[in-house]
Amino acid sequence: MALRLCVIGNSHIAALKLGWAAAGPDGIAPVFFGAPADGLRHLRLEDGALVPRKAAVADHFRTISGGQDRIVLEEHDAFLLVGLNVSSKRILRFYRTHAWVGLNGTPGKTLVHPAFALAFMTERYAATRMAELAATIAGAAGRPVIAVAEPHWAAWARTAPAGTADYGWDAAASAGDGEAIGALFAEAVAAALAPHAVFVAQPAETVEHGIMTRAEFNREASRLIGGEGGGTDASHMNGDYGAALWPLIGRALQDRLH
Amino acid sequence: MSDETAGPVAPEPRPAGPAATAGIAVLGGAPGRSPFALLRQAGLDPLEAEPAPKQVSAGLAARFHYGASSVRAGELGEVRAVAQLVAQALGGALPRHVFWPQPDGTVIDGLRAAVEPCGLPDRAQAEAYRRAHLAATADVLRRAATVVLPLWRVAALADAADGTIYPPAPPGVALPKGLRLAPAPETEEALDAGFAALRAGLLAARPGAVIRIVLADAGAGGTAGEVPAPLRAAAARWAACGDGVVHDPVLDHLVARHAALPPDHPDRARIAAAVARLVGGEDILDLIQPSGAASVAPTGGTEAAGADAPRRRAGKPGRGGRRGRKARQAEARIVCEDELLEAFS
Repeated sequence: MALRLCVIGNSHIAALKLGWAAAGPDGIAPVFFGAPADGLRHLRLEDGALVPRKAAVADHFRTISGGQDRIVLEEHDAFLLVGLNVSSKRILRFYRTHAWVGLNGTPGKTLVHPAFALAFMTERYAATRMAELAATIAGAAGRPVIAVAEPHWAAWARTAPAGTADYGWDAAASAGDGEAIGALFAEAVAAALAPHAVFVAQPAETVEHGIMTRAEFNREASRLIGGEGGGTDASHMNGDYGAALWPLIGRALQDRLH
Repeated sequence: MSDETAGPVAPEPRPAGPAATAGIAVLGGAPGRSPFALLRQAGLDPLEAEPAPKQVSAGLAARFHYGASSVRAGELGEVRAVAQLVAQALGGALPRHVFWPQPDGTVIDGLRAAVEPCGLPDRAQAEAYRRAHLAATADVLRRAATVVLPLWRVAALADAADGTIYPPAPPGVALPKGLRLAPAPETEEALDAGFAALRAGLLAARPGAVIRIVLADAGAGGTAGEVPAPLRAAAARWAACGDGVVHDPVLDHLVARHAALPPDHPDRARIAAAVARLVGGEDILDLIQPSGAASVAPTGGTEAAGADAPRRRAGKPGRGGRRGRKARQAEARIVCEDELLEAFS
């Protein structure tokens, strides 16, 4: 019997859905539940089920899952949390004002001990919707919870025209600090989720400069996910990205179950 | 402190205005017990050389000694240790044993070993970190029109070879080979020389800076009333010279009392407000109202005196007046920005 995997996330579950056919591990049967932006903030635990408090979120659930407007925990063998406000933008925001010893981009910033940087970012990621939801599910279902973050933004955003959202990728990459920031991001998120979930980091082959995603994994994402068609979506990834992620998720599930 | 006698009519209460409270630095103290935290509780914004991110939790900030002083140099509390810090920040040479190699291969900055719970990967990084610390400290000293100096001890350990004062090593931290620590002399001459060096350094950094001595145990685990007599005598000598050196025993008492109260005690906000006004340059008489008059609100406004007034104010620590509102608005804005940033990604 296939492992019943409940996939819960925001818009970033789309890449996993698109990549499932190409690289979904054998023996896993996923069911997707999602809502855009921070819609999953409106879930409550009720009689062993995660129930949307807003009709719009329930509608999204029905559409995406194939008819279910709530997540009955005992109907799933494991859970996969996707996105849910865990992104490298948060650590880049910290990097605007603070840096730790060993980085290059320190001028004009407050220097902190590397251990403080890790502890602080762990605190910050522990305050995300993903960490809260992981705790809720682990406590109520007692079954494995795996988590993947929102992907780093596409590399082209680094040199996007003025007016495009700038979270500091170019500053970090130009200083040569991207790899170290990306490593601390993964370490902090893993630590923040560790009490309740196993974190699967972004596949190495998809990462550029430590904190960005290689352009080919973002190709067509605007049309496929954002629906914009203008090639302006740097935050979502395509099916190739999902296909790169599935084997890592499969291995994490195996490790967790055996 | 003024020795004027009260006249028949109490002066109008004066809030500690921007001119009086701008550029205040606090050199020393422990998390939760330092006048630095107390001024912040009163809604002031003392200078801070190495601030933590705004969103840091109180527990994590305290673990890494953030929010305890304008400089993250440890508790200090001894005049020669402060003088040494100021001299180094202004370009003085570093002592030979400042960096302590540990058995696990890390390196600890021996001059603030308690500030960082763990070492740095190598000496080069430890040196970079110290340079940044001293540069940030120098910046604060140049901007400090008023320097609050919490002092509560005369005992110190010094390198027998060069006289460098070191704080006690935390448990488990190894001293480097060749460093022999011995009690530093506690004579009147030694203390006076330390203060003279400190004052010279502060005035070199910021001509005209006022030094406000506070004799109260602001160290972790300290208790009120333990300031040694030689230090009290020394502070009296230093303040007697006038010329920008002030010591107000009322301020001592208020700071000590604040430090002795549990964190949620309702009197803490009231004491913090009074301390903020005194540090800002007000006279003690400004805080005293004639019987039956309106009491002074924490940051200078007035409110009707009543049996429940202190408790009501204290129920909202740090929430007095325009300055407090401004601080709260800034804090709320930061929280909202962070949430929005993540929510609308």
